[in-house]
Amino acid sequence: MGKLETTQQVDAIVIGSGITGGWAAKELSEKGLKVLMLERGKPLEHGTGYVGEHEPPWERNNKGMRPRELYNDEYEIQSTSYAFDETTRHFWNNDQQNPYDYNEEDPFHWVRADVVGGRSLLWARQSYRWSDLDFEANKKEGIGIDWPIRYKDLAPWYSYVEKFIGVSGQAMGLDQLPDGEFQKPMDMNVVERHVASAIADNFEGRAMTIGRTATLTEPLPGRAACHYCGPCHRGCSTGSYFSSLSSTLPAAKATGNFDLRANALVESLEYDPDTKRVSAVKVIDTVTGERSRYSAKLIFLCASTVGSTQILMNSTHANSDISFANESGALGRYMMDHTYRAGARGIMPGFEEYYPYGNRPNGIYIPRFRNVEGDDGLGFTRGYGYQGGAGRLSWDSMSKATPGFGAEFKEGLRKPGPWYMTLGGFGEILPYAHNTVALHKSKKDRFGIPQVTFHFEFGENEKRHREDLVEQAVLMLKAAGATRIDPYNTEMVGGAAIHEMGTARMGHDPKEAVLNAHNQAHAASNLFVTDGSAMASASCVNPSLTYMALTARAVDYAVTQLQAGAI
Amino acid sequence: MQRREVLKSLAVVLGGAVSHACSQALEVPAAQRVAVAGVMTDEQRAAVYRCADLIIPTTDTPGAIEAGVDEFLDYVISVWYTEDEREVFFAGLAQILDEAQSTYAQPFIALKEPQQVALLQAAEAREPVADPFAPGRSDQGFFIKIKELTVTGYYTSEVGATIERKYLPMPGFYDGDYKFSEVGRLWAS
Repeated sequence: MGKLETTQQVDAIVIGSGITGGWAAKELSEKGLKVLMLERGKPLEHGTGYVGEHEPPWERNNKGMRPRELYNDEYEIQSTSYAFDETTRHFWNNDQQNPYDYNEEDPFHWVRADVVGGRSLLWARQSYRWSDLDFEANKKEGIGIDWPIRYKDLAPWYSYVEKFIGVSGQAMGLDQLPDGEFQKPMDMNVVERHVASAIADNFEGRAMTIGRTATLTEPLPGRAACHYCGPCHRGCSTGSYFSSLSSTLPAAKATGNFDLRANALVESLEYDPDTKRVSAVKVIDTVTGERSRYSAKLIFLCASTVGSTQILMNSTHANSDISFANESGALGRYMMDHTYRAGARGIMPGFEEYYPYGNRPNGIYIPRFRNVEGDDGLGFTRGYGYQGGAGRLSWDSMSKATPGFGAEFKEGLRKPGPWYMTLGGFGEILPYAHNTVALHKSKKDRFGIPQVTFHFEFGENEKRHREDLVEQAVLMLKAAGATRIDPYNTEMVGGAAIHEMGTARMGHDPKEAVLNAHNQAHAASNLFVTDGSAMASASCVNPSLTYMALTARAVDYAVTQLQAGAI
Repeated sequence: MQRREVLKSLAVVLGGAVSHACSQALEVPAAQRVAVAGVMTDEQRAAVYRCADLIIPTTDTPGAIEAGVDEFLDYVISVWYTEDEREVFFAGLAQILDEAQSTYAQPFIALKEPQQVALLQAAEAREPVADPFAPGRSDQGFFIKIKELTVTGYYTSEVGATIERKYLPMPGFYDGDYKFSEVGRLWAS
């Protein structure tokens, strides 16, 4: 099964180059450790790799039409994302080449990249802190297990991360959505400000603000302020939004302690039960098929929630099919996501003299207002926040709504259509033991690794908060004077919000949790898992900022322990 | 743009129908070329192009065909459409071509513009207007299809983005209170 490559110089291996892998590599290498990063995806260079960036519409592949057959055959899951098209396809996983067991009767969308940088290239950049409302909820309600940390443990690491990645936003002074280290906020447009004041005037305890986004409004070293071209997910050669490629990987490289190997798929971890350590990382070169093994003092597993869980489940004790990391039985269970694709939109009459300049890669945010001061008695626990924004309809919608054709029709389309306002909810999904990712018993990938299979269902709590969020979105739009209000509540699919998390959760008790309070595996002192799999609950805010803060904190702990001889 | 200019001058030299086939051949990969050549008759193709120019005519800015929408139409109709979509499209087109004969005793393409407009209006009357909040309906007939294709092809063309609209690839800042009177057109980016 290949030769043992002992790389003496390597102190730490980081598996995955996405948003948490990048942070682990930066922190470890800056602390003087020699780091090897393993990424299953293809190599990609910052700038030159962004082949769809700034591509004019008339130069687009297939003249902008989606090649439907190709998408159906090879990108069945990935092409469901709003960010997937011919300007970004080279970043994404090919579902035919790297499949999982997708079941239409029990659907789960595993949305994944397949390049260096991972989903940090494609993320929507919304960056919100958790609060103790989130960290204490499991314990207070007896749901899942208690978080082994509180807000005060993470607050300094939020600050540390925010200063480096650059988060623009507005301080609000809310306990349930703590303020951060903000760059100057982006502007709300004239209609959004109107809606914000209508909400403030008519709904106690509710507020609307500009989104907090990891997109720069002020330059940082090596990165320019946003130029407002619009589609960030095509890549940004000015580094104006945070990604591994624009930010953490250059910082890691600058230390001289960092090495990256792409096309390096981690198959499993080898475990030594005597030392209770991971003794080797087993790697397959996705181009040559060659297998190799690497060893290091520290292993940071940052391969994404599903990716990391798959690797752990495939890392079994000798002569056993039980993962060394699964003494708790929690591995692969308690999968969460956020509820998504529910809300309301409406036409906002007036304001016709205004037509925004520039493409702001950000929207508005309405922080959670349900069950904040206690149980609101609405028949559900936890809550939701809204994202959305206001804009004017353009030729693509207005041409459909305008009858006729000819010179008059053409002239009519020179003016933008009416303003619309959208409020879309993101709601907290509770941790249920029956929502799982597991290894399929017979289906394997092209390298013989068991494919993953999912079971995901939504509970009554999720259904109820969704009904409430649709109703409240309608009421807020009405209060702002919207007409033609169109509530929407489309069928929920697990994974569709691309906030999947929780399948290797943190917790004090090794009998209940995979990881301890520092993201360290209970079963292996030199293994840290810092991506979304570590989460014990989901909050309703976008999770990536929290993953990054957890990663920086875990590295600090790991290196201290290593230096103290405890690892 | 340069290659397009070359193709257009070729078109002048070679004359209408041949030039379209010629520019098509240069634009489309070999495997697709067969499909493009085989799907539409010359009569159908000329009528489709004429409809596109009736939908977005040349005014103070170029119209659909001048903007190169003909190539886009060829691609979508011949390559991108499914068999079912093509069937709906050509059935609707056939009705217009038949009505040209039965009403005016001439081919559609030979009719005067007001007569062509009347036939296209009659086709439009057979199909409902879409709701801007509910795009992508499955009951589209010929008129909605040709109108949407023409509009999409036009506004995403270089002419449609830079002459008909105001092309702003690098705004540099965001102003949510900007005045429409300062722009006068739709933005393109």
